[in-house]
Amino acid sequence: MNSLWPSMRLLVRRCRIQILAWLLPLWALVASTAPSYEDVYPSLAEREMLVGAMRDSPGTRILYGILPTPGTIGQLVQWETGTYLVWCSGLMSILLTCRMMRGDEDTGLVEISRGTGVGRWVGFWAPVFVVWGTTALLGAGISGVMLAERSTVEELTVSGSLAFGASITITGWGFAALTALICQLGRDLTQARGTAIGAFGVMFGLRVAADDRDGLSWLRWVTPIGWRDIVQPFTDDSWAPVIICTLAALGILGIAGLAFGKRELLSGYLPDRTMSTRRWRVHGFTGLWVRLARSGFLGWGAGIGALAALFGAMTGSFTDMLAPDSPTKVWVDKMADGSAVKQLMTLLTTMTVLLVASAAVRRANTLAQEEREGLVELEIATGMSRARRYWVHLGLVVLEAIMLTGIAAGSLAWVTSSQLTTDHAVARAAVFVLTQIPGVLAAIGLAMAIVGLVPRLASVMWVVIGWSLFAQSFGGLVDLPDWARDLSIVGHCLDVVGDPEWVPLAVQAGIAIASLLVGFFGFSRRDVGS
Amino acid sequence: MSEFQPIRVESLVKRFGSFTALDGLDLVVSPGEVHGFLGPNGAGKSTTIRVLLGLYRPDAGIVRVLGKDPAHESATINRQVSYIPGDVALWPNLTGGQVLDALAGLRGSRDEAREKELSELFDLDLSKKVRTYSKGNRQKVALVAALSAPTKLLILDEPTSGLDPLMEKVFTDQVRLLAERGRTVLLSSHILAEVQNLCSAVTIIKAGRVVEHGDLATLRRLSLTRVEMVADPSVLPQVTTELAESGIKATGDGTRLVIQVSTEQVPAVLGIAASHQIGQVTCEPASLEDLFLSHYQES
Repeated sequence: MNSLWPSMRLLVRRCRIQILAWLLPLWALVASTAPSYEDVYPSLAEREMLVGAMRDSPGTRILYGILPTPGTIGQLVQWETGTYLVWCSGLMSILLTCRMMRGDEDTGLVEISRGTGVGRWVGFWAPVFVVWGTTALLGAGISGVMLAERSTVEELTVSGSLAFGASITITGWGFAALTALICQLGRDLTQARGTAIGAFGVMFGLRVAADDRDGLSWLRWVTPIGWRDIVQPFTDDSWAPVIICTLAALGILGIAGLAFGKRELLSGYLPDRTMSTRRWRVHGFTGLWVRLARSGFLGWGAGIGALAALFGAMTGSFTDMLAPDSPTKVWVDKMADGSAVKQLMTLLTTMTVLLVASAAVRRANTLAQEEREGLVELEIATGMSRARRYWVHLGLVVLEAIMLTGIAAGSLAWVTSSQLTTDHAVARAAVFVLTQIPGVLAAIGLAMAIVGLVPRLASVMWVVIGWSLFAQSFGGLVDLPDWARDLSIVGHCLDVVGDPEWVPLAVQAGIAIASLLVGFFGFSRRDVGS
Repeated sequence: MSEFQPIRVESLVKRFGSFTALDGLDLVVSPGEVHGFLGPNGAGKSTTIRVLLGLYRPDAGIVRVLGKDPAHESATINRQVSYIPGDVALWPNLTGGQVLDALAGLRGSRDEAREKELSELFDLDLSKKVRTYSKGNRQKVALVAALSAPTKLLILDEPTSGLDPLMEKVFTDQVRLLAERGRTVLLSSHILAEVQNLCSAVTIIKAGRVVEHGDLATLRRLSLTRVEMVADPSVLPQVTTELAESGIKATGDGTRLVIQVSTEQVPAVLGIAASHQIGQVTCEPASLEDLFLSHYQES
């Protein structure tokens, strides 16, 4: 374990931006939720209908789990916001562990550091300690925020706040341990990360099964996503599960450590199924791009389709709660305009399209990544023109985004049709998604502009995505000015009734075209790979 | 200049912010020539090559590759150029064979028989994934792709990096074969033996400028002659003093004296050696290493 502490410091230094990019927005999310609930639902009596509907809705049970009764502010926060925190804690742990443990091994950093005398086990324990420390910090911050808000939200308790933070922490620890094990199984970072995210999906499914069937409630112990529901923050505030789940995570780490001890550098236990070994007939860059991007498209398509279907399943119960003058209606009125169905569809399609935009931005940014890796230089050296490289890449990103949007629209409309058919719900499900394509194109355009001009700043585009999420989801709740809420790539669409509002879509289309051209100008003029 | 030159660079300037990487560089490569392009680390070799490929935009100067300006016609030019970069980057999840397929698909032309032949000569297993290859095997993939492509010009940046001596010989033989068939090669390398074996002309750059250029034979004639004497330790101090009186500097380790002089000074040195009856005297033109190191070292 030679040089463990310096290695940990180096990891924190290298990943500090990423870590803060996760922690700060999540703490802000927690800080905004409890006061919002208090504002809209000051008393338990006003929450009664909401709580009943949320407990009965199959869609919300699948997404968030079972809302505990009687539905105090703390219980609502740990149920709704807590679900997002559980997911983010898990995904953060997965992505950080993969990057620090397997990513550094693949890029040769582990080899070079061991060449300086760093202990062999540092490559395993340094990432584990850093990620565990990060999730502990997340949990501590959550508890701190909740404790601070007790001065304005009376229903929050000390033990509940501490248990809430602890439950998010152990979720992160569980996923970090599981990912550490998967990193030993996978042959490289890509396989490890893909397997870990797939495992995240399986863990989510286990939690859903545990909530759905009484006889399967024990499954909550098997999945880190279910550990919060065992701790029951703001209900039972059980600390025994915190200790047991921590020990379970340590047990998984032990197994991961054994696997690490026996594994050769740059090897893995799983078979290599990344790509077939058959020889290709490649015709130009388009053919190559399609072959390389195929599996990623299938993964995103499946994920987006599933999420849209989940949202569709939630539509049946939501509109019951949005009766005129109900507290929920008052709250939702801050987030979207129009009838109950229109408001519901606006919120659901906004989230769906944001996921499509995230996939599109990620794909657009691969041009910057491939330039960094030297692959663009290789392609240009074979006789590909810069213009062709840029426009073919862009065209395929746009085509993929349109296809993903179609999948989202189809999935949401199809499932909605089984839950809700009043007030043009099904048509709105499809049209709201499809008419947000200009927003997705604007996101692609902005990403390509950054990649074309200053590729090392490609990750800045995630600030735009993050802002769009915040502005559309919470902008109304925190009384964001209209102009700030409109600065979003999602949330602007056409309705199936009334006069169409073309202006926002035209503006987004204009932004898309202008920024694509700026990106092309930059890419064709600047040095490649400098 | 009436003869067509595959590479012609005049007064090339390239800046990165306030740093001037190339400061009025000239480079001419004649048809069918294997031209060595040398310089210390950071001299500007890779920057020059990237300008030739159209990856970097020059700030000033004239650059022509196969008669065209790479800043505006790089795609047309590069279809006729085989390039091996200093750091070979390949798609990690493809096999070596799939990489060759991809590169051929991008280029739009291919000689599959030649690829097969070179793969066998380089002993390269094309069925393995790139990320399982050693550095040398990744280099071999790039070599097979470059040497087999039906192109007119080869630009090779440290092409034998990571190769074992056997494979280095295969590479040398193949480049010689290509040169005999009329292909033009620009070879950037730190392996002086390789340059000496293959190149008929060299350009040496330092700090973004040319410090030496010409055909190798001329350079070696114009360079210093190396004289080495082996004698009794009691004799050599006197010899050193007499050489110094003639303005000739000598270095030694007690029993051996090494002197580097111009051709005109050789008789004087030999005369001093003879006057002290030193029998073991070696006299030879300065090696390429001596020639290059005199430019590599800081002044």
